[in-house]
Amino acid sequence: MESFNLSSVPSLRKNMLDLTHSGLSNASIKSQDCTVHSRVGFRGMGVENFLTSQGLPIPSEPNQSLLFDESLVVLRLSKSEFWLVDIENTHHELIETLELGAKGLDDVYRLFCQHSHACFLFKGEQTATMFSKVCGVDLRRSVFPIGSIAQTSVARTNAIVTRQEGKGKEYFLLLSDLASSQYLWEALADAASEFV
Amino acid sequence: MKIMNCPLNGPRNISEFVYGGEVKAMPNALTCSDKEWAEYVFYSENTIRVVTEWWFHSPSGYWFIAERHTASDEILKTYDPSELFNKRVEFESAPESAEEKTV
Amino acid sequence: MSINRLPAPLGLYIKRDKTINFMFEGQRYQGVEGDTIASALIANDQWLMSRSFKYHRPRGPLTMAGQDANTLVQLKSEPNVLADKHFIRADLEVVGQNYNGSLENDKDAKLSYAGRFMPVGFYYRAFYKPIGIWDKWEPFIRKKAGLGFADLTFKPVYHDKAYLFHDVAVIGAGPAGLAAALKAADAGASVLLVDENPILGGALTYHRFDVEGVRANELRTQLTESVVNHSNITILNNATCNGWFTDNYLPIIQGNRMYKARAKQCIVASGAFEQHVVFRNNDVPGVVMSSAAMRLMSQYAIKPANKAVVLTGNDDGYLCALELVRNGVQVPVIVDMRPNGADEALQKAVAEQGIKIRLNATVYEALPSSDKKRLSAVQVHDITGKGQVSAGGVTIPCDLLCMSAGYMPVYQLLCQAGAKLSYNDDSARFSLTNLPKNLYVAGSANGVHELDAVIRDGELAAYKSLTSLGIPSSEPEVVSCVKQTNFPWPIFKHPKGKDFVDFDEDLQAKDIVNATRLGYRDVQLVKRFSTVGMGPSQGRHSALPTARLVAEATNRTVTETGVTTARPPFVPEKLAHIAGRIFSPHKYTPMHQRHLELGAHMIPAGIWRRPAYYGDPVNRDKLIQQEAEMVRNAVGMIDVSTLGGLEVRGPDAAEFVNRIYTFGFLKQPIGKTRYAVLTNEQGVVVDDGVACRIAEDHFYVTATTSGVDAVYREMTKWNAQWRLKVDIANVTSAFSAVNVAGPLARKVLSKVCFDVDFSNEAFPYLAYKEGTIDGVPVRLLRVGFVGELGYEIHMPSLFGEGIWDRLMDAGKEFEMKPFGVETQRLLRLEKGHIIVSQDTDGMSHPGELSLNWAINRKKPFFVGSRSVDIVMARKQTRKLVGFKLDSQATRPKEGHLVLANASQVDCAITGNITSSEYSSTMGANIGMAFVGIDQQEVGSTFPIRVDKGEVVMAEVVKLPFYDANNARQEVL
Repeated sequence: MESFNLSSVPSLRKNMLDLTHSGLSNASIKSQDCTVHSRVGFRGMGVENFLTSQGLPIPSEPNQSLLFDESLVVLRLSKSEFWLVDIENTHHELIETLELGAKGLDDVYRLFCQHSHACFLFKGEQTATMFSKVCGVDLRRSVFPIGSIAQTSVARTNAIVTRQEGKGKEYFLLLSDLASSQYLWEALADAASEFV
Repeated sequence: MKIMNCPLNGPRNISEFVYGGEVKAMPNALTCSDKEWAEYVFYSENTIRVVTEWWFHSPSGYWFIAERHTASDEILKTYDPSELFNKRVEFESAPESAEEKTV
Repeated sequence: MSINRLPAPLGLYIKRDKTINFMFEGQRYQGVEGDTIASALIANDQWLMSRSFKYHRPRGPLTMAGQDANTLVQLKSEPNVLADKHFIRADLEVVGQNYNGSLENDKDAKLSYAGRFMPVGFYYRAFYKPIGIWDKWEPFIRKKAGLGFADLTFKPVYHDKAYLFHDVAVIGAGPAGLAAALKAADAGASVLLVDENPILGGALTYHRFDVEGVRANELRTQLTESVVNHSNITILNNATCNGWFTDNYLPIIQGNRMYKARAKQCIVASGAFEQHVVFRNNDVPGVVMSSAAMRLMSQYAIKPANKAVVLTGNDDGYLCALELVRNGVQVPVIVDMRPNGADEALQKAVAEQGIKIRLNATVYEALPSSDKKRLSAVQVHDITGKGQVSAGGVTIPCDLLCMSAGYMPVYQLLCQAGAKLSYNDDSARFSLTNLPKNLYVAGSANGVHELDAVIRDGELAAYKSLTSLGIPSSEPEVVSCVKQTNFPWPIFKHPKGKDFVDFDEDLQAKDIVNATRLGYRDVQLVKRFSTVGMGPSQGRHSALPTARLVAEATNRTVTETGVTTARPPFVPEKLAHIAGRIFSPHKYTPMHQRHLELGAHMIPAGIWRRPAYYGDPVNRDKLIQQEAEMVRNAVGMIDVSTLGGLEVRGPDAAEFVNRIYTFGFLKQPIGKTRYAVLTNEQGVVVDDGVACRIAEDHFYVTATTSGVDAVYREMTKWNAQWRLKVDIANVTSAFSAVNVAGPLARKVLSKVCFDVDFSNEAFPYLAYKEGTIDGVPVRLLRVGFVGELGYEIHMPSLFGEGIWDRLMDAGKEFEMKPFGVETQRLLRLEKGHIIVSQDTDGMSHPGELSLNWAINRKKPFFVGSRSVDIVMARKQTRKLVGFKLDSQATRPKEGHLVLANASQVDCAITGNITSSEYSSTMGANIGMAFVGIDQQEVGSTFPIRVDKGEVVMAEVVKLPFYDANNARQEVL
């Protein structure tokens, strides 16, 4: 058993999110739903060695992240937990290879973030201000520089927020429970609506 | 709203945390008396002092330990549970002639 | 039309070239942009704005700063608006409050004469006996006494909240606040400066600090310019910091938004409230604080009167008199309560203006005009002792009386933070001590009143904040202030009363004294009995005279008497501000859109939304029976994605599961599932699920929808102590799941999943397998929850909708339809399966639930094992049983009580109904209930009290109701 491959059949992934009700499209804050893009997570004391052996960069501290190959974000969520998030959906092969390669390794446990979490991307100068309406952590650049991660509460749901810079553009990534993502999307659209 | 310093995530609103009760040593469930067990399960000193408590940071799923003064509500320090719990805990099978389990 | 205003630079708030028309009491008035309702009315010589709460006395502004309740007016859709804070705009419609008839001619104004028959506590004492009489009186009294009226057609408008993060928050932008903000910002700190007024400056915007009357404006211009242009300072004006909460968490209301500011350091420079003098008729419109008169001139460019008398106990009254004269108001006399008067320079300056000074004297009574709407004269008496006056007095005609009895710190935020307010009875000076870390007080709130000292005090607070932040800065000199501003006893009781201590509640000096005579010595009790300080201004002016009166009446000092507790909010706030946006998270399964398309009746199930059944709620009972019959006779499918899921992996996975759940799991074969019951340390059943052994070192455990987060927390907490080699992951959202159930379930599955043999031999009851559907990996569990052949299919969530569609398609030829959670509850009830937290409560141990079979007594430990041993060894008191009633009988509801006997008289309650539903399969009402231990025998009956006191008898039935030998779930 355990033939279970979470990275399989990416073409059949579907986010149930109904984006038609969002006010985000005409705001100065641009948003994108990256939920069906590839990602994978691992936890365990063996993960750091495993990822290093695969040629991936490792953030030195928990709640720090690094960008690999311009659009793959490597998040370190604790001493022994790492997520890889594919921003442009161009790293599927690498992610599937990692998932398969981790099987049977000592103290390396694959996590389920591909299917448990929604992934949203926000761009625009006012994004940190928008987050201050729904989140109690200060996300302004001066205290939350590029690469920072906050595991916190956004509009009363648990979320992971990170600030990234790729191809000269800054953006925020937000990962949160897939099941409440419709609610969260609407709450964020409401918060963003003043920034026209 | 109160702020607590999470050893993993830093200072956060107290609403991000779930209280997990006082850190207590469990008596040997097979050999202790009913009274000892009841004291472990139900009783709390509830006096003015520094208490050692379990706290859970919900967004990151992280348990840690906090030392807090019950009168001032000041949180004196927080740390990873591995500072207190660093050995694998085993439970023995019931000994053939169990020690007197008095009420 | 030309606007009758004083020349610039007076009129800091207004734009005199922009006129605005508005309505007051049905009449058109003209003001200018920047006017409040009150200033615009006064500019039109309309001082009467509202009537008092109890006696319906005519009232006009007292403070012009929103600190009194004398100007509460009614807007079209908003009651209790402060006329001296609310800016006018075109077409505003304003009326007064608390009158019967019209504001000018209130039929209830005679209540004032009945005052002596209505002492404090009158309502409570007069209308509460005999019991029940209050209900008859209340509507009448409410009508006479209530404040404004609510507009029931009111439409809510958008309100929201936002966090602000700063190094230093400065509350109050007067001279101390401005100086503090500048020093902190210059040193590099990020500063939030909060002020309730439209322009910065605090007292600098109205107060006169020097004989020449130039200093305030110069300093204000200089300080505000630096502050406004400072990149490190964020200014929030027209904003009120409405409370102080732990760790400098500051709710600040500005417009329709509530900011939740989080400041590392907080400086409260909130200023001081000027205090009134207690004498007869001190509430007549035209009797104001000196600061109110100065605000009218400086902020609104309004000449407040033709002839004014100043009643003072400090030098500030003299400065007010000079300012009045400068702006064309005649001031015949300054009545100084002190024996020695002001400093020489001031006395000289005043004398030069032809103003007489009467020392050691007070106004003993104010005389209203014949229409009662405005002050016409004051009666001045010599002071002969503490609160005592000479018999004869002189009457001085005037249309304005300015009072300067002293100042009380705006202590509210600081006392909310735990500060202690002290008062020196000799120097009449206040101090605030015992402030928590990272909170400072500066300026007149700190008892400092001389302008240079105020500035330095602000800088000193900034220095302390910067030091706490670790930012170096120069240390200012310690501030000392010798200026005495408080007259120790500005209270002159009058035998005929109406000498108001509390304007909001119409409380006179004798009301407070009488409360102490009735035995209420504690100021908190005086407050509760007399309602002093409970009105909208929350003791801003009544706290000090009350403390003084109670202190005197009980032979104590004011410090000993103290003031009542200050609690948030500082000013009234709207529920809409507290509510903000509604953040009420809810979860959808991946099939949510499909349920909506199929007409599901969605209900909340904890945080989730789930289909109760498919169709119109008016047909609820019929739909549920139809769906149940479909499952019993053919096949149905239910979305069970909300089921909790936990992955337990690692070399110690079996050991861990074995310690957490009550059953034995060490020897559970790979590819099998096992029922898993979770007890807490008290031995109470708190969750259940199914543990699937996927590999030697891998379990997939389900948990209840509402319980999974707590189960996950408990699991991880235990392993933080046990340190087993195991990883625990909550995968609830990662998997969506359906249960395909019914005699034809196997046929449906066989059409979509080709790599699994669904035959009974290859895939027996309680087996676990993995397969693929269209390449999607799925976990398959053979289950029997609803009592028929059934398979749970768990798939990664992003495929949930696709697999649902595929299965619906495959089920078409068998007329498979989805069924809802209410139908599932009926089906499992027929099968006698409990739902933890529905059929269990906070006391249910396994024995009461007949779950002894699911407990392994041989293993050394599971969470709760010792407690289960203890409770099971005791005499049992109740049992969960199945019951049935005739289908014609009243169906009991969940929660109805089980009685010891049917008599109902002194009858003990032995249990309660936990589940109840009509079952068409059984042709009866069936359910589960806790019953007394002697009521559990199968075939016996027990009484249930249903609605309206009716008692029905139910028969105990052996569980399950349906298919006792489990033939259905084994169908081939």
